[in-house]
Amino acid sequence: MSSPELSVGVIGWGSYIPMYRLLVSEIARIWGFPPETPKNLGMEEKAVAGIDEDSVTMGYEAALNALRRAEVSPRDIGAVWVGSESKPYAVKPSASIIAEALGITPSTMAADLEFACRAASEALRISIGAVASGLVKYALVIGSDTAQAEPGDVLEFTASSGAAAFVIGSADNAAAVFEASYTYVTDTPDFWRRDGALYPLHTEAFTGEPAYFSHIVGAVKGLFEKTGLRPSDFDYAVFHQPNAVFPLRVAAKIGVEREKVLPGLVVSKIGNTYNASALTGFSRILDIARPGQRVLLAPFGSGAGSDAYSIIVTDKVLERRKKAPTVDDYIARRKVIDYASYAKYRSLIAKLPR
Amino acid sequence: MKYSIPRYWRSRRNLYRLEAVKCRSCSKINYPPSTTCRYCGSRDVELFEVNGLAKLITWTAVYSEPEGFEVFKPIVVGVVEFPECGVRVLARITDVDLNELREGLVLEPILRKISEDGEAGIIRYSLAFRPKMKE
Repeated sequence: MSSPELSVGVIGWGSYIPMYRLLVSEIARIWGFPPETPKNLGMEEKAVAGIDEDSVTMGYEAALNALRRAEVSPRDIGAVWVGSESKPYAVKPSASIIAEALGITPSTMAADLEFACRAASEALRISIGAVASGLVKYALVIGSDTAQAEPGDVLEFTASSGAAAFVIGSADNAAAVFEASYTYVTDTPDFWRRDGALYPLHTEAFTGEPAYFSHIVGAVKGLFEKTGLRPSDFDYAVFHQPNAVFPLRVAAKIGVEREKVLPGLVVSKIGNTYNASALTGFSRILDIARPGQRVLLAPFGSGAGSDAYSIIVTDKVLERRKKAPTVDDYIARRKVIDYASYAKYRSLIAKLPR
Repeated sequence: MKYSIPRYWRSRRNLYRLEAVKCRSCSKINYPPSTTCRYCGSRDVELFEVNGLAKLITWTAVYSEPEGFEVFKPIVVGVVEFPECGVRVLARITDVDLNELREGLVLEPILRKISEDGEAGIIRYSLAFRPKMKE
């Protein structure tokens, strides 16, 4: 079997989670939800970006951590792709700001991608092609979101802020090597935000079955058929994490044991970081996995689509994980804030134009 | 739109990365960067990127903010020093409570949003400093 994936891998990985935390019990208190509502989602608290943070600043720090682990010169990065649904500018790339700040400009491709929560995963698949073909030596893939939720919407229990980034390059120097990948996309209106709308809308009954579950199952089954791999071949499985319940349920549908999902399941402590959701879970696996272990990664994005990857960890993971803060380091750095501070930090308070 | 875009554009590398110059003649670091070494007058200088951890020297909290900075106040501004190269910069200190500030506090540079030109104008980003996180 010769596929482009086999020649490509993760050279460095990096995370970023802002320090502020909002307890979901606080959201329930403010909006009058029964205490069971966040509990049924498996949620405890969510990460909130500070007043001076956005998807550019968070993406920058995750990328900086990925570059520290990769130990490659920023000048050798030939593409910077940012997946986000919370861009600070509707028109003006986040990718060029981050590329400039990291010293990657001007000899680079740079663009922002949008596909709800899986744009950064699409960027991962694109980067596999770009590196395998020799078009670029290294690509920098970033998923970063300050996820929006209308105050009082059930989405508010999970929508959070965070970023994940990967330097993708030749398998020879990789901490984890791609083995195969497969994408499954349909037009499914489960969640959207119209141009100019402040908050997304979602089709409650669509969120689970025709969207999240069928697309992830479709992508993973496609991967299994393409490769002949089975659930028992994997040591870890990471799925998109809109709450702490769905990833375990989709694992059961696919036949993956709960124990393989739990190590990468970070949503109950930080919330759903959208484009960084599954990728932060995957970063945590790279923080703890042993060389030779195989990881199933399946991000999902509304609208809707999912990608399934089979990834094998190499011995280079051990040295590189020490070169930047881990996901757990960021989870441990926390300061609990009240709903009023959250409302200010995330611009939920309507103010007259300055 | 009230901000000068050319001014922001010209200074972006100094805001996003701490670019200084090192004098090839006397080895001193010049920050802000300059084409002539301010210590020995040599014009033989090379680009030097300031990196790593810094220490807080002194600070203040600004409550009377300039336009565009309203939501960020109190704005903690400090003089920080990179011990290895001796470079001192004036910068925003973030992710910190006022009562956590003390001389010698170890800080790390990170990119943050510094100000916004209203709802539709440019967003200015710059390096800021936050207490070094525990690893």
